[in-house]
Amino acid sequence: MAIPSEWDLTGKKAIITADSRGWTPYLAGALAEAGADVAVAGSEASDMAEGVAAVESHGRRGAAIETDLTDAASVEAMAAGALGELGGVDILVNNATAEFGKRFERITEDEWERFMDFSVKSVFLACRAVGGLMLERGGGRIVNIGSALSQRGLWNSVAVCAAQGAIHQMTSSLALEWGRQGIRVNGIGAGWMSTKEPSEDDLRELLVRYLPSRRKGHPNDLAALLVYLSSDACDFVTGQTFFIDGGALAHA
Amino acid sequence: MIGSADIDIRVHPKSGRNAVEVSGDGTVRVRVTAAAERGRANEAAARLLAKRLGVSKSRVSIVRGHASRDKVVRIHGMESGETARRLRP
Repeated sequence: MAIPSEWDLTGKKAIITADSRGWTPYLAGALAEAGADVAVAGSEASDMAEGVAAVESHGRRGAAIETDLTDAASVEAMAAGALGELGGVDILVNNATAEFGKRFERITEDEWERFMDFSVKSVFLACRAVGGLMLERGGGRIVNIGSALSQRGLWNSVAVCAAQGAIHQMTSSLALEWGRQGIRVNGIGAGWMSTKEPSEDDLRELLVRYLPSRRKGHPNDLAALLVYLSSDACDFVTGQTFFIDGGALAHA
Repeated sequence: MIGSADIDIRVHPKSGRNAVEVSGDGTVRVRVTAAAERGRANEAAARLLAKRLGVSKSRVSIVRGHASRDKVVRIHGMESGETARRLRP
């Protein structure tokens, strides 16, 4: 990836939350390629280790911090740990997500709470803990990785769509609250993505035929925008979510 | 269960062909040529659904309705919403 000098992240310190989709190595790797040291926070079951390896492959400092993203004390400890490990925090990328699909009338209270905790409360806790450090130092960049489901409904996916809508609005509102303190809060709404190499078979898939791009996205498609939104160049942009979706949302 | 997607399906054993059909109200019908004996229709339905979703058979399990036409099938490890999207673009 060729990175314009204005987007350079050399000397910046980032935290990214890990998930289980396999996107973390690409996103953390992009930040490292642009020059940032990166702490990866997540559970043992996440792709945290792969994320750290990707950072180190670019010759940057990587650190894995085991964190329960739904627990305030654990997230506070993670933020303090990252600060100690990296010597600062300039960038937070909320990337963790979970899959959950079920007919709405069958979702139990416990499932709803656990899903919303993992999807929405985790973003709140990370923004509060890491944003607190950014407020102290007088600036920072927060990027929330969301999905196009903040804009569209989908059957079997009421909880997922509701969570995405919440993250979308958290992005706008938090940008207003922290704008004057030099913190920029933006989002990337990802479309239908895959980390697999596209095959001939994929081209016949209904979903791929539906997409104007005629292919699913790859986390690398998000990399350049992520670097920009994390950089000093992103000063006049805040509260926005940009959709990288191969044209899916352009459909009526 | 968090980390997976549950899909309601209706299985039609001893059909003339193997097919996954999704109707307007979100009913997923899985037609299998296998007969409903010794788990053959279940096996065939799970295999067919896995193929349609582009996942390995090991990621599809029947969680409810083993002996019924109406079943709930769990798909493990697909990205958010994709299970639903793939069944009905």
